[in-house]
Amino acid sequence: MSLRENLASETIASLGQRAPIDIDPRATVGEAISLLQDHSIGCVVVTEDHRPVGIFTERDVLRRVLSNDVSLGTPVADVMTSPATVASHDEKIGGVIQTMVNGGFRHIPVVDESGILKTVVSVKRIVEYVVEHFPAAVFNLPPEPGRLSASREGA
Amino acid sequence: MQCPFCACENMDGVDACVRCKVDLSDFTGSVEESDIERALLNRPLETIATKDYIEAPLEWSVGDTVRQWNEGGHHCAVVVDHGKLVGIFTERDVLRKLAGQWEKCRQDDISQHMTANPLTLDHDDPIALALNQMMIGGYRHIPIMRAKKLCGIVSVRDILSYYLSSRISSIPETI
Repeated sequence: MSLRENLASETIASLGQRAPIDIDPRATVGEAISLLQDHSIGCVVVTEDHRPVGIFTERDVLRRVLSNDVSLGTPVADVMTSPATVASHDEKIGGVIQTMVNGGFRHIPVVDESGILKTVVSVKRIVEYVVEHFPAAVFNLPPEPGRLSASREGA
Repeated sequence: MQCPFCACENMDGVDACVRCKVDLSDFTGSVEESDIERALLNRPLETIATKDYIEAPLEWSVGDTVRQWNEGGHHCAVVVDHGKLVGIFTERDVLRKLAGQWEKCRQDDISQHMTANPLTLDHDDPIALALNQMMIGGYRHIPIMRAKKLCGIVSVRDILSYYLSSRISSIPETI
């Protein structure tokens, strides 16, 4: 089956079910930032009873925390993006790509039919999925050591 | 045969592309699954490069840079010294290195926290090469150069946007 057909037929569940990192809305901004740093992730989902009520991303850190001198002791609920745009676990991958591109999202929480958070799909995971369909084209390219930096950004 | 990665025409049976040096010894031609994939393999990066960055002089502080980002809606700074690209500084640098100690670090020079000598690609390199470096190297932003001068930047989302725009007319109504 071609990539195009897969995008139209496969659901988000086929991307894998990496356990999401979530946080209580009463937790502090400092705790949320620590989660982002400790897990090397770009967002934490803010949940109540395992259901998303918001999302706190690295962009929120810049726009709402650092730029406004928000105290690290502030509840994350005060600076999260709410409501979060979520996707159903049975949504097609192609539809999620459209949502990401149209909304400018890097991460989309995925919920089951009861609204329970199951995982988070990242733009990186989507691109990996696309690449998996023609790995020879992408992974066999030769490295050019002379042009590579010693570390990636943020490393 | 045409190199699937840079579109250079090579003699049949060559072991490596004369232009990009990719190993063609085992290449069967089967990776060109569709016109879209072929476009990713052959289209130059200048097709999708954007100006979604700011140029930050070395002497800017990280606080200055973040303020400029927020005012302009950008997420990435290319650090220049006398017009020459010397580093890149992104949201991820802020989050990973500075977010927990912002008060202490906001006046630091950007040069203290940027990624120096970042990977760059040329404007006529194929989009697939940027994908390769993003997947293997973990890069999220890659400066694009033309004649050794910065002409744009490509992010992982730019590639996804390009991919979507390439295929959007062919997406079935049921998606």
